[in-house]
Amino acid sequence: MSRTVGLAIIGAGPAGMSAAIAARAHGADVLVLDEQAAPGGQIYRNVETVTTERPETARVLGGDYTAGAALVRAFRKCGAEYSPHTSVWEVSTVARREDATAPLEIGILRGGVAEIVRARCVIVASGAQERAVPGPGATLPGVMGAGGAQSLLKGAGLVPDVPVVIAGSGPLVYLVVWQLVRAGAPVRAVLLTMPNGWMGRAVGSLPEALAMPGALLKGVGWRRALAARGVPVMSARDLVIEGRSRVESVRFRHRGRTRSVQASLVLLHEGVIPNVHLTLAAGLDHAWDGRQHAFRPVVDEWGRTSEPAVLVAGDGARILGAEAAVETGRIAALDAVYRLGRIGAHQRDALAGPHCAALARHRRFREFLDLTFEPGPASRRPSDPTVTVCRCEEVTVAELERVIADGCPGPNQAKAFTRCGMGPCQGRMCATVVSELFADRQHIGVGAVGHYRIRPPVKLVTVGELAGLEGIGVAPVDHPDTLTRPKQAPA
Amino acid sequence: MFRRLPDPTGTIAFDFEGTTFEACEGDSVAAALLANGVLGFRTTPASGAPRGPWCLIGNCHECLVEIDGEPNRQACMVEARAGMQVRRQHGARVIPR
Repeated sequence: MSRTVGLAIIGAGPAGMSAAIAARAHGADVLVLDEQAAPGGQIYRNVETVTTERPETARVLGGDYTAGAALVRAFRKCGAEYSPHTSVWEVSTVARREDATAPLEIGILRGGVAEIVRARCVIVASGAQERAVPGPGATLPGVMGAGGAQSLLKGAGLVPDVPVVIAGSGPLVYLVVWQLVRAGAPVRAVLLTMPNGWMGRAVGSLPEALAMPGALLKGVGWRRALAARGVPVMSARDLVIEGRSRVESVRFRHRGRTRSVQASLVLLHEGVIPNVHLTLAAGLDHAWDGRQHAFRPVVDEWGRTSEPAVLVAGDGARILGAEAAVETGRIAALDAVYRLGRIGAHQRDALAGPHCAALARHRRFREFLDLTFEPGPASRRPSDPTVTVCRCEEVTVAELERVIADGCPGPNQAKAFTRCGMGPCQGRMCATVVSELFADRQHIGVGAVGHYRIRPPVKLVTVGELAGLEGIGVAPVDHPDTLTRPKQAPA
Repeated sequence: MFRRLPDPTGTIAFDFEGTTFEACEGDSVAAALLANGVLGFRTTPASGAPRGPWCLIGNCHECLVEIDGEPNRQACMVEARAGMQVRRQHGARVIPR
């Protein structure tokens, strides 16, 4: 018989962990479902092992990373049930359409076994993903997300020992380069792809930047450190990654002149966007965020979605960073324990006050980051017809333009015409780009274009695993021939 | 392609297409392959182009390999274990019979 918990939290990054700690403080029974082997999310990936057993990795990653160990310790002690190696392939609100008090049903996969767990309240804290960066040569082996390379460093202490070029925009570019340089990686160039005018916007939003002077100084420090080590940092346009079966060089335009840098590894980064597959598949309302150039679930100040028993906290709701995710996790947890009848509305509001004030500072600072590191149209809406947009099914800009010109109304129909978005990643890598291309060529807003329709299961689950679900009613097949040959009557 | 930071870790051995590779305990299969110089993890079903891992956090599905005979495994999401049999995935996965 499957169980029902008070609060299920999906993801154990800063938002999920702090939501669990806050909900436990009010006595809620909390189940945390996490795809990873240990708590920390992507930002604090592997932080327990690194801080206790890998001093050199800890040194390279720096204090902001190792500080995450304290949050993980508090989470481990809070009394929430932690389920690692658990992927969530569905959050279903279907039962609640009939009965508004029915629990939510969460489809999970753990150790090769699919199960349904029920919860009266769910906080989705599934975090962010790196924005896909389509461009010439971007599918070659040896091209990775900058966050991907950082993940190898955190998880396995791996450092590139071949020439590396990092290209893109965003605070993570500086952080990753700073870490790789500390680790002794041969970084050949940092190519900044911010569109013209970014410096003016950065200066114009300095009042917002001063909301968090410490963070601003940190960024300045990273830039200084790179300059001190002689790592070339330059603006770049029209990036082309070249190579036959793997990366060999990067060509780009710098101040009107074409330049080329030899590299075996190219790390791309144009910011991060919310992971929306789970909330989309749950049928919750989403909107296009024109400032962050990403789809996000529509939430109120508590993180409540269009189904109020499902809340979203952390970067999965809107990109605000790890420290803000701690605040939104706590705020969502307070509303969850209020829903579960553990505190009253007045107590909830009073307890949320300081967290809302802290969150306001993070939002102001994010204004500065969003304006300064806005990914340019060239990164978001590739114009080169040969560029691969859907990496799984290898659908190019030219193919998408052709079906748009032929009257294909939107991304869902483009799937049928081109197979874009229908490969194993389920559109995670191309959805935003495809919607942007439709908006651009049809001269309408991206929000009006919408996102691919996403259906569960949103994780790789085999038919065999699903067939094992309780209540599915599939009897075990004792002989494969049973399926094709009528059973003979017993003699 | 990659080297290890000098931290003490236990090692394990696994098989990659007939060659014995060494990895560190706790490595994902993707990290273990990259540490051994493998960059192309699969070829695409559509054109046969080589691909390697992009996101390393379970999103991009570019690192699909065959592990112990099971196709379509995300190398970045599976922990490398002693004695594992890992192969590149060429084209569309073949469902084992």
